[in-house]
Amino acid sequence: MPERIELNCRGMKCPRPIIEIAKAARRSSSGTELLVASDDLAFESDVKAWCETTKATLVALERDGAAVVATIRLA
Amino acid sequence: METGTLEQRLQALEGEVASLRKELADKTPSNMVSLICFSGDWDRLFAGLTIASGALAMGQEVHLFFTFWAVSALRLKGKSCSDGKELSQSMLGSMLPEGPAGARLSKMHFMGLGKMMMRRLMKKNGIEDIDALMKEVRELGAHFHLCETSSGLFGLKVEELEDGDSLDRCGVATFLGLALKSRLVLFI
Repeated sequence: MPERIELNCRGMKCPRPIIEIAKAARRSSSGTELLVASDDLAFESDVKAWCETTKATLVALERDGAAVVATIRLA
Repeated sequence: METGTLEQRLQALEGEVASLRKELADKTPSNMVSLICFSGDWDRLFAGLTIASGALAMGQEVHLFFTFWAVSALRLKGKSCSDGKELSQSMLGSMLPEGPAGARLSKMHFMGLGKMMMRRLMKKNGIEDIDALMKEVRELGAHFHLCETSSGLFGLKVEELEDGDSLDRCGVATFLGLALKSRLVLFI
């Protein structure tokens, strides 16, 4: 089982959620899964762009109330 | 036209492949982003630092080149000194902000009232403070370059600047060298 890290970025505005993802990614190894929750309206679009640029895989993008939860597998 | 032994031809071919490889590497877009921070306005600095932090988070190598009014963003609070400066430089020093937080809004500053309202609104909306953003950009590993001509003009000394010792004090050629290699260059 790959390592899973949960990040609660609710209440944070751009660029903070992306920075938190990058920081967690720097500490983690390839294949790690990040579960990131954010209620920032820019998050859905931003997390897609982050994954595309860093070659990570966006495994899932689910709605959880006012937030969006992204599951990212690190490259 | 084939001359020389097989070995000589192989050697020539290898040399050619190596030079083509180098040429290709030079032409391949880098993951570098260079920002020219020119404006000392609070909102413009904020925009620049937001883009810089985002680029760092996206795995880019980020270079920030501070010139003219933006050099005040690198000044430390309460470290200003007048020793060996011209009168006009000391006057500038006392009037220019120390660090990004002290900068003015480019619009609706209203003697600081507008900025105060803006900061309050941003805090309420969960938007990062400019000092925190600057700290983040440093921690994420941005490269800071200071325009030597500007800092000389304002008479700024190493001890008056944030991370003054490790700052790359350089000129336009250094910046252009970085900019030409960058995928993205922004003037803010």
